[in-house]
Amino acid sequence: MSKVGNWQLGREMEFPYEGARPARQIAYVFDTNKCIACQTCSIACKTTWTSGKGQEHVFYNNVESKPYGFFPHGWDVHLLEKLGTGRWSGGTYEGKTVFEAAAPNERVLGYAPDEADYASPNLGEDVIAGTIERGAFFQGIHRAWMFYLARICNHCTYPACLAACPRKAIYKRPEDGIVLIDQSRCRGYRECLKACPYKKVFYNAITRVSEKCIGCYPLIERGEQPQCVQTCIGKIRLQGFLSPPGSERADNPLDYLVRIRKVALPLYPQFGTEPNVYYVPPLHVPRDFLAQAFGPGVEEAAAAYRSAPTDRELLGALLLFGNTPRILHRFRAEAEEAIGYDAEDREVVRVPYTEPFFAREFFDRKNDVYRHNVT
Amino acid sequence: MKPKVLLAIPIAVAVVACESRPPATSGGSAATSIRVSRVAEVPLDDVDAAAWRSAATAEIPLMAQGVAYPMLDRASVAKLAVQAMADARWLGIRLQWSDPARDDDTQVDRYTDGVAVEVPLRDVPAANPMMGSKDNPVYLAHWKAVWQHDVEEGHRDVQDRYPGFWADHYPFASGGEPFPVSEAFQTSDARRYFPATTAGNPVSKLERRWPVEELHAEGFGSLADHRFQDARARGRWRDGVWTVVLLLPRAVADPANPSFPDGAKRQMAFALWEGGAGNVAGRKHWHPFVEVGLP
Repeated sequence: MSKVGNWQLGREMEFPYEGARPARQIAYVFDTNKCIACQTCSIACKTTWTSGKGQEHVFYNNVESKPYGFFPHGWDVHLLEKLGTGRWSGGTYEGKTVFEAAAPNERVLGYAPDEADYASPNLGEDVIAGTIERGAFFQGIHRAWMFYLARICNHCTYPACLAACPRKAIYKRPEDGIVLIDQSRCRGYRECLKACPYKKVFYNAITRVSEKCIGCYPLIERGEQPQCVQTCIGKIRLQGFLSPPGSERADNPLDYLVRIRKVALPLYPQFGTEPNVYYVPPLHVPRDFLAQAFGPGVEEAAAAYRSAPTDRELLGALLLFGNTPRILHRFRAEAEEAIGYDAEDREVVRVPYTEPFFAREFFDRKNDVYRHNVT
Repeated sequence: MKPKVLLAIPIAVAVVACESRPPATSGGSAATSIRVSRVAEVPLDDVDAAAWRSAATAEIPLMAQGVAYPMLDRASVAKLAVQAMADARWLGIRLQWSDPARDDDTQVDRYTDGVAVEVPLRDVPAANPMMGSKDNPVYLAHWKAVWQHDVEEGHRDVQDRYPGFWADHYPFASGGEPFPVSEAFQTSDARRYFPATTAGNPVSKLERRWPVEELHAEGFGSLADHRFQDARARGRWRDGVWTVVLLLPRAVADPANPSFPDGAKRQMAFALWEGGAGNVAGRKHWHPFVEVGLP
């Protein structure tokens, strides 16, 4: 085992390979407060990549309702139970990661889901965390809660799938940090599937090898955001690149949101893989649950998010979500608009803080007709 | 990422505790060598052919693989019974072991039974029985129960596993429900959604003639299939016992194959997977090199 730096844990940790951060790391911010679980992302991804026979259960992208939605069933609670309690001291995780808690004959602490765990991709949809007291629903505020958690491969800095593969058929691209399974070399051992804490590696029983999210790398290579990001009708997603720790740029929207303003947090950072999908935590969910899911930065993230309406720069970064297919490498917040720039520093998007408002008269004089149900 | 150098770990040559099961064959004892009988023709059609009755049986004790990750923490198969015969063209190896279930399918949580033999290609004394090394590569012949099923009954399709399944659309597939893989996905467009098959991964072949694969290895993680597949095999599970016959060519032009000329002495190591016990990859049983004496 090597010692590698994990900024999400605030410490070094053990990993089977020497640390080798990519020049830039593909990363995503998902705003859970805006997700409506329409599953457009899931369908866009599935139509593009996993419509084949043997891939019926394969969802590189899924949206599950927390706390009782899972795909595969129970993926996170199973591993949390195996990993046991781990405490945070300030920003430092004092528990064990999946690499540090591995059994002597394993590289990674994990488990293999049952076949039946894949049988119901949207089990638990819209199930709330508790019952609603009689009448409370009609009285305004009630204590029951749930939220939608959109999930893809985290293209982890320290991928557990890669660590577990005895075949070395999994690799992390040095140019962008995308994690891929070499489909010509995989022998279908399923060690990656067992090791991935997020269960985002799938076994295809027709081709008899494992498959996973490829980060839509053909799009990335031509400067476009992935399918799940481009098609998100709620505009909850932004994909870009994180700079290596210590090299953050305040005008890089991903660096700004994740590392500088810390408004978006990794999912289950305690697993230790340094996942690179970052979530703006849902504001209405109990803090204990959020702390377990997103680590110790929840209060700070929520406070930053709440300040967005009066914080032009933060608001500007958040408004860039879903407004361009291009990958944004730089952004600038002006008095009335946020502006995004591509890799060549060309302006590719300009978003007003306040959308223009047009009021149309109820009666259309030109066509001599009343306007009904028009927007 | 740069892999760390794997430290050599002393191999414990003790047999790890096993479940007690009746031996697959009788009359054998822990063997240090395998004697090859000369016959006119090594039978393959019937794994219980009469010719095998007179062949000597070497009893090979099996250990849990505990050197490379992932390791097998506990052996569930105690021993492998090995017989060998040779004709002019083939070296036949008959392998028998106890296994309570025929595990010949793979799914997310199901693994196949399998067995493999390994022969060093160069410097025998220095060869590493654990998948060889860069300087001393090894040849392997690997039989799998799932491939035996492929050969006998065809590649398992979705409707074979889930008879009530329904899918609304498979892009570019021809024909109708249930869109058999063997018929409905013959065009390159339709094969897009079988990425490993399209990439030429030998594991992902949709048609298979023999249930064995010849492989080359130069260390952990280096396993590669031979361009020319010369070996033959047949396996059968009956009453809790697997019997597998491998036919290895005695001499072929392929330099990745070992030769087995008359009078030669070769070394052979063994690996065995019990799918029902979760054996896969390095989670296997094994035994280091044993001498094989050609007649």
